[in-house]
Amino acid sequence: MKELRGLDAVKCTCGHVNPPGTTICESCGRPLDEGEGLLNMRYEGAARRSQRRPRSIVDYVWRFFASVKAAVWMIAITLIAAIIGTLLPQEQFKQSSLPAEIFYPQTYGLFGEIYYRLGFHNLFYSWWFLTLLLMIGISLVVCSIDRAVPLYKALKKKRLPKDEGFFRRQRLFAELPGDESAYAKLREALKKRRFALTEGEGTLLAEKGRISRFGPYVNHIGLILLILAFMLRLIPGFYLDDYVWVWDGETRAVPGTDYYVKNETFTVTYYTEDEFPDPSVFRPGIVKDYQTDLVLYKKEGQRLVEVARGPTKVNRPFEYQGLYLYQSGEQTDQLYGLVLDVWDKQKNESVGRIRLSLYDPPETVDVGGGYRVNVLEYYPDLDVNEKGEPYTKSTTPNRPAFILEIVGPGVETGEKNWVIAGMDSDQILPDKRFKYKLADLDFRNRSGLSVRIDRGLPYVYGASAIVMIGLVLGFYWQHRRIWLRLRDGQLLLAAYTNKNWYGLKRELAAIAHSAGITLDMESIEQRRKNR
Amino acid sequence: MTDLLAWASGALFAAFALYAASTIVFFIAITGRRWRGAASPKAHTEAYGRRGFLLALVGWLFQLAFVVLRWIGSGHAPTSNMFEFMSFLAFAVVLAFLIVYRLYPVALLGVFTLPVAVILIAYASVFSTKAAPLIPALQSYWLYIHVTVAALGEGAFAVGFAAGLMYLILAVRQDRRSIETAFIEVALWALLSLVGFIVMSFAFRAVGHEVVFERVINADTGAKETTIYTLPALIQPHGATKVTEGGIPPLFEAPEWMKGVNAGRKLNTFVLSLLAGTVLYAALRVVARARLGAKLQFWLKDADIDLDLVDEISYRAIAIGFPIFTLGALIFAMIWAAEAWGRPWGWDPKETWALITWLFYAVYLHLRLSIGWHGKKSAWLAMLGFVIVMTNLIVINLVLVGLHSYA
Repeated sequence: MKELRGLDAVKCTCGHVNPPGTTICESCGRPLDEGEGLLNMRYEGAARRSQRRPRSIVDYVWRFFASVKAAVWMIAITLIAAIIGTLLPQEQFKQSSLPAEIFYPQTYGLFGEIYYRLGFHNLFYSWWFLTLLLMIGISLVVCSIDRAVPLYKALKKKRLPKDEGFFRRQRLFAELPGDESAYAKLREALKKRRFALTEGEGTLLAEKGRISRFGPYVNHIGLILLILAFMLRLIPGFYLDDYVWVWDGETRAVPGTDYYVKNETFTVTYYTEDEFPDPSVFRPGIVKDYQTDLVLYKKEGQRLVEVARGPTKVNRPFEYQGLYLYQSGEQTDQLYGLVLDVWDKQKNESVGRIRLSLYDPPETVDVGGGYRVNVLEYYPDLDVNEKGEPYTKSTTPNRPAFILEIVGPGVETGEKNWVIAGMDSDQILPDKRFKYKLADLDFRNRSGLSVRIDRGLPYVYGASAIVMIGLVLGFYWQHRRIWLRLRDGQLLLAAYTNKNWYGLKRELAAIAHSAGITLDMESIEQRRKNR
Repeated sequence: MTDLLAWASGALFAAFALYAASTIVFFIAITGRRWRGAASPKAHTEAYGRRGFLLALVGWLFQLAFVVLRWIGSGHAPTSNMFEFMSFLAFAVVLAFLIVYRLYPVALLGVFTLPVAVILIAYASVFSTKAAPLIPALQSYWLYIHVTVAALGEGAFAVGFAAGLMYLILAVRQDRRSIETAFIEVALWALLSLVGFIVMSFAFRAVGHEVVFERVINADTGAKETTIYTLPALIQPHGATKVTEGGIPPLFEAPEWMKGVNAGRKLNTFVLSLLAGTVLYAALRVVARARLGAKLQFWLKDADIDLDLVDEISYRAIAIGFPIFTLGALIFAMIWAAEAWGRPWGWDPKETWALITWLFYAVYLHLRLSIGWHGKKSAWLAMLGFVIVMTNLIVINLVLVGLHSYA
């Protein structure tokens, strides 16, 4: 397929002046090249901006992005990069707490090292991959404008070719002896088959399914909009992607919002044997569902006001005004807190029990009997530094320790004491009046909630719908055109379609048949050369 | 419930047998044109083509019965594990074939498409055929919509592949050796490897072959990982010891860098399949005393078929499949992903491969429609495209780790 480059305006023998790059006269249909093979009807032989002699940088850039060859290369490079990007897990999926620079070499050896160094571990968010996608987007815009505009003009004009060369160089062409009545019969047959007819100066143009020619451009516009819709998330407030773990019964701030969420209960249900379609494969412990019943609060002043409540399950997220909470993690029967017996050593009796969370301990707890316990310090992962001062190594409760203060009858000024997991209070400070005995462990479930806001989503779906409309128009409709011209007792018949030549041939045979003309379907097809 | 499932299995077996019979009848439609007693070659092909089509249609109806019975029996659409999905893909392939055959009644298309369905059902049956209830992630009506629509698109791509292969078998000159004849042999060898894998799986399952390996995965606790091979163990897992007594000791050990789940066993299966494919290929080649492509061409050249038509069928099948694939594998996938995981797109390997497949067919369409790649080039691309589809369906699920690793 040779492209005509850098031509000047072409004047046809019929007198019409065509814009530079035109290959088939816009007016009479005369082929403007010297060739003899089949005509390239792709854009109706119309001139495109990218075929102009480039004069400025803009022309060169335009020409690059208007080239389908360049677009195909860009798509191919994206495709190959994406394949490489799936060879090893991306950084976000690596399921390891190791940093990437250690994880890849350690797990995958030299290949992992190279993979990491070349940045394939985070390919899909890398600047060059995103640049490629953006360039494909630009190419979509430029290719579409470059071709759709001249194509639209050419098709709207409904050219009535008078030049014989136009007929002879179509893939389907027949020259038949015929007269006015044969012409009229064919015309009638075409009309019956719901072709739209245009007639003038001895030429008949019958066409249907023209919309099919615009399918690719509708589809490309949809794809551009899709890229833009995904870019909407760059607008502040349009997109939020966060995560929060909430214990049973706990209320936590929803990150990135003014809301608070309470996990009323988290439940895991398992399949029972009679729920198995084939009981022979039943084994206990197969999860049927994860569900968190939650309450959503909004902070007004110092108070939390309930705004919504309901369940969130896998595949059925909780939604409130565009804020989505997804059930996406679970930890069952985890150590959540300690239940301590507050023991009065003087009276040798229990004052009451307190519950201390290891994740979010209260500031103060009412024990009863006029006593109250204040939590002064909490070290989830206790250790002692060189100076002998206590500190916490991490926020994970590996070795939780508290400094508690009890205030009440007999200890009006308060009595401080240590509570360290795994140690008896008497071993640390035996002289205190009150000690804390471990009475019970509090095991609870923890529910992991994905927090999402994605206000661009409706636009993503809208753009997808446009893509689909374009694809359906382009692939399930066909543009069929038949030209007919009567000249000196000879009928010139030519036909063109953008796809399904077999179907067009069959239709042509049916039309000829109903007009009482026999057409040999094999002989009317002219083979393309240079296969 | 179990009754329904048993009936469903019966229906699937009937479909399998009918597809196989249909393949043979289509083959006769082409090769029997010069039989004595046959009417004109054209009439012979038409008559047998009709019978082949009818068999395929009845087979498809049986498979429809399988889908319905299995759906009712298991309580969910039969698209939730490898067995169900692969057999559903065969269902989609035959549906696409029936539609394309109505557009282009070419008997030869049946010779190439129906074996694809036969192989897919056999391959599906290698995996566990038991019906299990859905895990929470799959409990959504999008399972039915997304998976079935994507499979229908892939079914059309399979027909495009079959027509592409058919084009190459007929169009590539076999009177001399070339790169193209070599590639055709490679493609046939790969298909035979798949057949070899299926045959071996059933044969060794029938005799109850089993080899167990153990590997210490934690030196402190002494925790062990056991791997059970149902095929002969040629390659053992890295650092494992054989527990089963007797038999032939494994020859090799899987390399250390292969870290995936059951990497050793998968490598073993893969290598054995290629070996079986090689044995099958060599045996056929000795019998045929020619390149298999040449032999096939010799048999089928009687078809007297217009190559341009075959080229158009391959393109048309892909053109029909492309919008369906886009809808099912990308758009519906995005909607479900947004509903289940809270984002329409997240570069999970399966998602990425769906995009790779889509981009590949987009390249195919642009090369064909804008650059003018027809004939052999287009046919090679149609074949490569289906390789990508199958890579996504098989390799990604079995080898890579991701959100879609259910089966």
